[in-house]
Amino acid sequence: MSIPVLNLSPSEISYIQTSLSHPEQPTRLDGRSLLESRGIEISYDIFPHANGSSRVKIGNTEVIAGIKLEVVDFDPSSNIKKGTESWRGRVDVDITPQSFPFSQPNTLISLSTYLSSIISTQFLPSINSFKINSNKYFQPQLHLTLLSFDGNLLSSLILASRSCFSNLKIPKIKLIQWIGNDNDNNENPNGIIGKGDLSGIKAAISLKKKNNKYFLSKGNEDWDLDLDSGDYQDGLEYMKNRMNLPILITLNLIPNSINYFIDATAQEESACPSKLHLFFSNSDSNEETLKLNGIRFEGGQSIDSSRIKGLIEEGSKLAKTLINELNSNLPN
Amino acid sequence: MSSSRIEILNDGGLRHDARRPYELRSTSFQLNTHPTAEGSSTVTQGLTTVQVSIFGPREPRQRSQASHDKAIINVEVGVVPWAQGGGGIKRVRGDKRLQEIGASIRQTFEPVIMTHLYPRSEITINVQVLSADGGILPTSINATTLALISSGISILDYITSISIGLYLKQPLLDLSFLEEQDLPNLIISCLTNSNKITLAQMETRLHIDRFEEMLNLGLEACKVLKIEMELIVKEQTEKIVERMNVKSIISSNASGMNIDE
Repeated sequence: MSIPVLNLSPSEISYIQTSLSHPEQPTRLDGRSLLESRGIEISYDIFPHANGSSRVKIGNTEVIAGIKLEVVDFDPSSNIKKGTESWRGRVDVDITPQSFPFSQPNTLISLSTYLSSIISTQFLPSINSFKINSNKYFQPQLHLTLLSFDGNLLSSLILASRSCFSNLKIPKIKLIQWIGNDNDNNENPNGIIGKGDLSGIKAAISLKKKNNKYFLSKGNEDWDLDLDSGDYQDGLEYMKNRMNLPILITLNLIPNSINYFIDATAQEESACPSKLHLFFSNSDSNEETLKLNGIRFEGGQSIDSSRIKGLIEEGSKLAKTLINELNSNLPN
Repeated sequence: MSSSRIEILNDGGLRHDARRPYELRSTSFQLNTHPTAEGSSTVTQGLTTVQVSIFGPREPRQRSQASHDKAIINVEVGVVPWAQGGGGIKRVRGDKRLQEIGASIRQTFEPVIMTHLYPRSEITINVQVLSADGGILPTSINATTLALISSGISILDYITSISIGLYLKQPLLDLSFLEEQDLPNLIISCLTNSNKITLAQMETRLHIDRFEEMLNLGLEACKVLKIEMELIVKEQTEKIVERMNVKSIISSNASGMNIDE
């Protein structure tokens, strides 16, 4: 499965490839150098109804993203395989017809599924859980919409996801109920405030009597939103570790050349389909080196295995610059 | 007794967003907002923002649907999950409501686009709703008109569209989401120069005596919108003329031609 590409003629392909692979003076169609990216525009809070949202524009590739938090049940003691817990985020990518005007609807749907699964496996695992109380969690549901396309698709999507999570505001929680021990020899069967120490309207209404024991009936909660707290008195806080979210660097490889370039336009991608995707993120422990979260190699061209280490190092340098730039411009 | 529902019209004669009954929401029109489409526009009316991109006339993707004497028109509508509050993972295109909106847009424009000029080809209209506070259909139609003009496809006239509601004998123009839910409302779209109507849609009950008044009011409102749209189109055309340096070429030829509006 690959992204629909333009149909270029052999002479166009050859023209682009020879310019890029020139040993001394590689040139690109818009005059950039090989390791130069197009300008990146990021804006936050574009959807007031979403818990976090962002818009990313790299050249003519534009992605808008938003996150909604849903409350889900999860029992930590159950034997669920790591990575499939119910609090893990969900992601959905909408590839609009205007981004790939020459493609059939089926292609767009399968492209959506393909990209959603990449983001789900390579980006979401680095998001920690948003716990409310012992068995309730906030589950982030991320939705991305691709409005227009001109190359560098996966990077833009990952960047939009990262920006969206950087902008995500989690509601603060307070506990409003505490139920004491359910001892059999506690003799106070009358009155609503029976066993344990209960407070809060929700708790008082919830208490029911059955078989001489008091218990919490279903559907009532022992937690509530803690509005009026926090720095801005709105009861929201940014997620921890948002500086350590991953980004993606895509190195485009040129057939029969040792040159590589980043941030391809749609034409350049059609002429050089082989790509090495590298997911990097800040390391919690070590300030200097980055962590490598994932590698994908696509395009069908085979490369010398001795090149991989060098490519990863170069990618890591580019990633470090980008991550530092992003982290210094986070919304506050 | 206070109710939590909003007041459609308060004692001062203002609506819930402080507008007068016949006041339209603040609008903004932009042309050429999509980098790769042949024609595109983004129209914002109040808090409703719609971006339309037009591709065509081009080879039909499905040869079987091609018509030998005219162009076929395809409309696809997509929304962002946060368009109307809410959000999360839900159907953003292809569901019944959006397909109906797409069909209404197609029916509105089929008699207006000069399809006989583009035989055996296809014109694709992609509507993307970026935020919605009522009036998705009227705003989409207005945006489609501008996108068609931006793409150079020949149309007979400007088509503008508006929603009209009724509250206890008082018609209201350009309804927001809360008003749309509560009031009987009529959506019309018309060819502004000839006063012809290409779409009249109503899914609620309305007393027949009120209908004519609302229709005429809607026609007036459509004319006002058209005037605003025309200003933007002319401004854009002036910029293109300036960039092409056509004015200086024409004035340097002593041909006596004037640039016509």
